[in-house]
Amino acid sequence: MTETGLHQHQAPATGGGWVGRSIPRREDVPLLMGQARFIDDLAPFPGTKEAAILRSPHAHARIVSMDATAALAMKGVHAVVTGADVAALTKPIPNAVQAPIRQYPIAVDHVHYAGEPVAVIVADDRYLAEDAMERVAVVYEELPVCVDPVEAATDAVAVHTGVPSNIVHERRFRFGDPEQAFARADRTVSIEVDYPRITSTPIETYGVIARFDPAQRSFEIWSNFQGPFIGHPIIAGALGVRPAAVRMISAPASGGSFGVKWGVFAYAILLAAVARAAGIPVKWIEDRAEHLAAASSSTGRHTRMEGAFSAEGRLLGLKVDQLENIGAYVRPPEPSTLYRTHGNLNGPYDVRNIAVRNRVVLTHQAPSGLNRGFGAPQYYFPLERLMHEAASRLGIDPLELRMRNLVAREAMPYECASGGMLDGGDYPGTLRQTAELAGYDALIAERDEARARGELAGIGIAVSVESSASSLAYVNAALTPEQRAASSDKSGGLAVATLSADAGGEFTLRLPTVPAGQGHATVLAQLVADEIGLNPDEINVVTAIDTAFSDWSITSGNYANRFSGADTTAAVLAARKVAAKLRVMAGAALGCPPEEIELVDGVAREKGRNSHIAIRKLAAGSHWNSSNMPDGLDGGIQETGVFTPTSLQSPDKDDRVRSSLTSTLMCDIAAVRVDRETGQVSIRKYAVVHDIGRILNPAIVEGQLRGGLAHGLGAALMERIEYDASGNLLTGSFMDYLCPLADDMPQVLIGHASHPTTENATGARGLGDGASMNAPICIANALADAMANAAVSIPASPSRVWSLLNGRDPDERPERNAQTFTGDPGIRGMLTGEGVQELPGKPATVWAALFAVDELAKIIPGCRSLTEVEPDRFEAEIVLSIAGMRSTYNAKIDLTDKDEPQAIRIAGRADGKLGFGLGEAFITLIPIGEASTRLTYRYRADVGGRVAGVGQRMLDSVVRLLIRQFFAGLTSHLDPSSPQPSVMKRIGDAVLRLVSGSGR
Amino acid sequence: MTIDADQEIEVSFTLNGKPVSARCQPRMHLADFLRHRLHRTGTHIGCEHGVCGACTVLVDGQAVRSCLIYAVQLQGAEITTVEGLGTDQELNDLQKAFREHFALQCGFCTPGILMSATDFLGSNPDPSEDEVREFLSGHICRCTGYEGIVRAILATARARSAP
Amino acid sequence: MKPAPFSYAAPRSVGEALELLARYGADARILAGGQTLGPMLNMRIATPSVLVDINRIAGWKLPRRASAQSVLTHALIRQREGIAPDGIFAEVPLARMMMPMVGHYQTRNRGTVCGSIAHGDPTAELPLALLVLDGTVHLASAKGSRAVPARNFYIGPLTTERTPEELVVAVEWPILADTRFAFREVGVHGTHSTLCTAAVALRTDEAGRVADLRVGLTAIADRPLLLDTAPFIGEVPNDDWCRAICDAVRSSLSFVSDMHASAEYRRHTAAVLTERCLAELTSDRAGE
Repeated sequence: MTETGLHQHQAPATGGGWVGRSIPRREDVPLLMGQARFIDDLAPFPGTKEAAILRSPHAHARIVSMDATAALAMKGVHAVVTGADVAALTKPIPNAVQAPIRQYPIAVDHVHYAGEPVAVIVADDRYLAEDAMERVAVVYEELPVCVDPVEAATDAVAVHTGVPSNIVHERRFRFGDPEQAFARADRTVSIEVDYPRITSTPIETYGVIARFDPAQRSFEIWSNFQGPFIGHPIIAGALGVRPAAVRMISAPASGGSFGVKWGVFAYAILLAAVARAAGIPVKWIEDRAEHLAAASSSTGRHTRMEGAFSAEGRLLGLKVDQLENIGAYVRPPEPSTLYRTHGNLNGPYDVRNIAVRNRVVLTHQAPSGLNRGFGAPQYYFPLERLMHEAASRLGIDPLELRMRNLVAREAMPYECASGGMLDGGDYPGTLRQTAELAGYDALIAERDEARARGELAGIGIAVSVESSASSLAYVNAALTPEQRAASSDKSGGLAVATLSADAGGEFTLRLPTVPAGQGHATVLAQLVADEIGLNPDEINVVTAIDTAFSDWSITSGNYANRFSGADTTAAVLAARKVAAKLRVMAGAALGCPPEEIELVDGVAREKGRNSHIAIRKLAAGSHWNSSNMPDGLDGGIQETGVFTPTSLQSPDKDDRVRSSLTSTLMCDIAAVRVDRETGQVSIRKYAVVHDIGRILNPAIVEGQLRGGLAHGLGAALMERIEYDASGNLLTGSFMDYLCPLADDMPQVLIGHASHPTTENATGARGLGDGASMNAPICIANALADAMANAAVSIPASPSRVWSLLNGRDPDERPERNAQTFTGDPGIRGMLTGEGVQELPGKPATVWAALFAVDELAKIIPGCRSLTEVEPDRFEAEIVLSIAGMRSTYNAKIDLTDKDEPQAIRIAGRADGKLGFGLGEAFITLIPIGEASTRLTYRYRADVGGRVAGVGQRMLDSVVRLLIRQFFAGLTSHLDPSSPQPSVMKRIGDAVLRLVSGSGR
Repeated sequence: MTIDADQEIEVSFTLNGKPVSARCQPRMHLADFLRHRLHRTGTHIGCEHGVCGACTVLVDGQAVRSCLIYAVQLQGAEITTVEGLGTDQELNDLQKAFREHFALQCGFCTPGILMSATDFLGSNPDPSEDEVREFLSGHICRCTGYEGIVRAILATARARSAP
Repeated sequence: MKPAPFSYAAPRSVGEALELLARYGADARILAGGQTLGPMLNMRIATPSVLVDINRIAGWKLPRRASAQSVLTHALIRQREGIAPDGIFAEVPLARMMMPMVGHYQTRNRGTVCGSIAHGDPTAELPLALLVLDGTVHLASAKGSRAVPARNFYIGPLTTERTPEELVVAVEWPILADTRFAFREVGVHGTHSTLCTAAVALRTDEAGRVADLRVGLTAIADRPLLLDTAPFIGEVPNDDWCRAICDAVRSSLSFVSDMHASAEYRRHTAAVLTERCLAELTSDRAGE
């Protein structure tokens, strides 16, 4: 039942005026004192053990065997749970596009991304669990790898064996008449861009504590899962029990989420299954390496977008071709990232003719998930880059071009061609306001002066629409109308809150959300205080979810900016019900009609009279004297506000869907300078105006904007998840995945436009994604302006910017691609090299020396043992220290293509705790004169595991040093009297350092 | 005298002004020792490789990454953590400034920054904004965009040096 | 990310530390500041059987200096001590000016000067400074001691002359009289996550001719590199001279690619930063 006054933002009857003030946050005190309780601070179950997760070093492989005997023999180790164990206890995780892939939260017989879990070790503590992890012996059979989404889309390499195509979803959409729009266009402009994968990296990682109750066949799971709680039936379904048998409890505090902690759901399934398999409660706290490898990074998107423009710059139509990289599995909620903006494909512009082709492709990368912005940065980047380039081509000022296309104030509320609803605001006015805030005209003048001096200077604009309070149903736009008709209807964005009084007359608001720093409790107290006439300090707030006790639904949780757009309305509705009851009670007590009662400053009083009664007394009375409530009212005070936004429906038969309840316009303008020589970007000015309607707490809003901007700057300038061609993750630590720091932040000018929404009871829209969406685009546009180069891409780090300035591909490493020769296609050749060495003796002598096993064992650097196990097949144990990382490697070496004594091919692989390598070398021997041989060699090798993360710069040097040492030894063996040049000796000694371990 | 890897030894030091003691193996880092042996969970772990700064505490008055120092190294040291800044009843001036300037959101990185700032302000009583941002670059915050933190630290410095 | 088990020793004297190193060799690691070793231990990239904590050693005796004009830093001098104008690097301006770039405020509290030198991170500032100053690393082992010039110390990526049985007991920083220094650094953020660093030392005689020129670069290869500056001594600095030096930087040094920057970028930027250093050192000569 909808509430009266719902679609009308109305000022509260009490006029306490708390909403809109920057009252300090109540969350702060425990946090500042170090008393807040995050998941790793909790110990709900006695006897809980700790888990460590063994993860695949390979991007694609078959698990041949796993032997946990040595691990299980260790004292303090309780269990080693494999994928097969988990598959026996769980059902596969469903996916929204019915892709024929069986997905568990752990690999069962194949791994599909580096970092995928393969076993869970349960031990007394995490230290021991990691020790045991190293003793689980897994044998992999490596399979072909494909990490590039464009390559994956050709299906040259199957990401999943037996799955016919890597493109697991493809749909086209057509709204209006795009063909006609393009036919009548005066100008067509196109852009092709990549949006990189990034990850929002909250400083607190994932945490799960799980217990299985064998008596009840039920699970209790504590975690920092953020919701939406549609995850709950997914988890229960996977665990093979009814939803009522899974109790999920949120930790009281969460250290940041930004969407990322939706992905906790997969680990909730995993650890719950592990607790069941191991028969003991289990706690798992993710470490940072795990988080960067396998938590939740955003999709990467390759987009080609075309705009049909009139000569005056009116955008008549859009053609959008999106290729979405979701990683190795279709893990829920995908393809939601792609469909998040589906209802609002026009962005902030009045364009009604839109054609879309969407494709979702698998790659051997970690599965994607929610991150800050969630699909919007990926969509608006091409759209706003298109507008920028169009302005340039059409000779229209970029600001003016936006003005000519923004949805007009008079057109609000504006129903988008693809079903969304822009609920209000003055888009042109807000952009104008932004231009004034930024001093746009002055910025243009400064830019032009700087250019006259020979500097690279640019101005960028980004205008986008941030959706909030998502519809549950928008991902169903991925299905065809026929598929939708065949499945059950989905809709909604339900929000629920309950306000109750206790026996002391104090009020408590309970709202099922999982705040991770947004100040929900503070803002809720302000809202309730205004409605019932108390101070916020007098309102207790519980923002947590316990599925056994909270009034939650599958839409509950902290995601999609739904707090201010939807949750706050539920709280206000609950508070209004309480206020109404208090007025009846007070009226009865004071002898006047309820309409004459006002609730103000803690009392209920008759308007214009002195008589009053304390609200606290009324509230307590509802407990203590519950049989004597006036007017047949129920005893106690406990009112639930339910906000059922009926406008959030399933996609219709024309694939139109209202994806979200409110739409926040955001305008950013930036002025940048580029150092032509070093590629460094400096931001001279950054201005942002958002229209979030009613501002509930200005300081909290500002904090969200600044934090979002920091995320956006990171994506713009330095953040990108990187894999090498073999699928090794290169950004495995904060040393390589770079986050913005305090001295990276520019000065930011913040303005607000405030046109309240009429979609809810507070007039507030969502915020939170904010500048994380706009900053990358704004800066990219500014750089495109500065460099007069449409090929601008992000992250705009110094090397990439310089490369663009100098006509080079920012990501190409030419020396890496210069393969000197081709060989085994199973070896990519990440490391290649060649060289020549003169050796004493005729070829036949050198040949004999090369393959004399006992001598070879002494010559090969770090070799502890060398055995010929079969003719031409050797096994060796070698200790190597690579860039300070020392480990023992077991090597298998094969000699093939023998053409004695002239040529031979040596192939091999080496495996150790720190990584593995495989390679091949071709060697030829040519006589020089009577007593010397020229040996030429060429090699190609791939490296994986942690050693690969060290980076090719180190490995190239190391290999060269090892080769030099080998030849030094060989030379010495062939002619013990030959003097070694002092340089060679020094290098030789140094390589001894290398193989025996050095460095500090 | 070498302590064997699997040997547990008693580590004793002064924590927030009081003597404490617990047992651990040599390899347990101070952050884990504080959290899991002494049950002071105010110090948080964000990366365990010394970049994020969340685990920063004071050792003999100086800001130190507690994930990069082993408990066994701290025999007899004086350690201050976030729990030692104010009292049960009251936040100290720096903590109050953080609240006043909205310098925290999720609060997970906050204890480390508070301890770091305590050291920094002790040796830099009158810092410029640039100096504050530079020292703050040893901490990653993903929530606030750093503005409130900078304001809070500058405000505290000004207030402390006011006559 | 928890370390693999290690035994722990906290010797009270250098001799005791050296005995431990002699006994355990490559199975031991020295723990000084721990800012570099800590992450490696936590990530199980380093798995020594024994950790030798030298922080309890008091009364470091400094070795005899190789030259009269140098400053010695012993193994426990913390990086933080090098920042203040009157700190340990008071007479070593190149090291002092680079100190604020070394790690962060917090890591400089524990990190040691000698530790940074011994580790030899290919992006680190202090090894570059030592190379440019032509300093010396003093090593000691149970068998004796030796002094290794910086130019021979860095062999490869995180690979130095030091054998596992040796301890860096001190580093010697030459005081270059009448010499001026400049350095420039480019990083992904401002100057963090360094992509290229150049450091230059210049001394001119009374006639304005170059008497001493040193140009060093780091973050471009697997270790810090020195340019051969012999061809540029004896001239009066001018634009052609600067250009020739920058050309030599581009053509005679080696540059690597990694995910953060291409070799081409590093080559170009190395020359740019060198030029900026030279410009700084020669531009206000006219005002002297």
